[in-house]
Amino acid sequence: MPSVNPPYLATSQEWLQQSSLLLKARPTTARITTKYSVLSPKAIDAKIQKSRAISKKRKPKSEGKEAEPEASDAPTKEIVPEASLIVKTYCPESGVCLKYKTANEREVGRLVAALATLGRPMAGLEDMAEDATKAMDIDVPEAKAAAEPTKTTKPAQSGGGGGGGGGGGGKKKKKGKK
Amino acid sequence: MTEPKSHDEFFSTLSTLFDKTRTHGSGTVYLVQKRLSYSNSPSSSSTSSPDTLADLTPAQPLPLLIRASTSQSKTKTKLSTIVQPEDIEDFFVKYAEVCRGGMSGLKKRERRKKKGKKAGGEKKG
Repeated sequence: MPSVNPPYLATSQEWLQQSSLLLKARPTTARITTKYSVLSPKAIDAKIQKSRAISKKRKPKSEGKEAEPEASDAPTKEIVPEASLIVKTYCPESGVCLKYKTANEREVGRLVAALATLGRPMAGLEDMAEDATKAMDIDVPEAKAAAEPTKTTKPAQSGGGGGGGGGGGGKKKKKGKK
Repeated sequence: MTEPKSHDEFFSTLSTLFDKTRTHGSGTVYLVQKRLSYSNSPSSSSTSSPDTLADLTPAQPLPLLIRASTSQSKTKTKLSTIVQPEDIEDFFVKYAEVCRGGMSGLKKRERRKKKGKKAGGEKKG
């Protein structure tokens, strides 16, 4: 059975976006797994040894001899237990798998908040993000009103050509030149 | 299957699971979150296509099932709890606290390399 591990997404934001899309499409079958693992120093040591063995193989023979003393020095330094946090959204029906991995403590709160927002479509509730944008829209018109006039004048300016544009402010002229 | 526990019981057991990874120096805690749907038996997953879209708009909000387990060979623990739709927000506030407290093995901050660049920026209150 070919088991290729799916790649990790680059950011937690991307994971959240993709996962919320997946949950909207398949709220019943999709599940989110959070895996918190602490590797013991022994396990890390084994991991390091393994990676060294691989890197030695890759290196040409002449360089491999030089690298050996370095390798023997390295294990003497203290190995701290290594922890990692992986969040995975998986849908067995469609086979979609979205993963994100972090080792940063600050991401924990962010990811649990993401789990909460993803829990809403999972439970069949309205998406909180949509509510948030709806709420934003109420506040936004002022900002939009301020932004829109500049947008609407642009086509008028281009449509009016040189004659109409002459009466406008200096700012518009500068924009046109750029 | 073990019976689903109450939220408080779930959190206390979950924090002991996290504590074990700390004291033991290694270990893994798995947390699974999914929709709890009684009606969906394993055989019903392969029903005809018109029915597959029915789950997109459930008549009423469905509860969530939260599972937690460890992979430690000696003491394999499994527990679960059910979160009602109206409790989601309250649950996740506590859940975040337990997770933040439990996942203490993660890196606080990368200080060695970026000592000069990032001095402040504490967001958590």
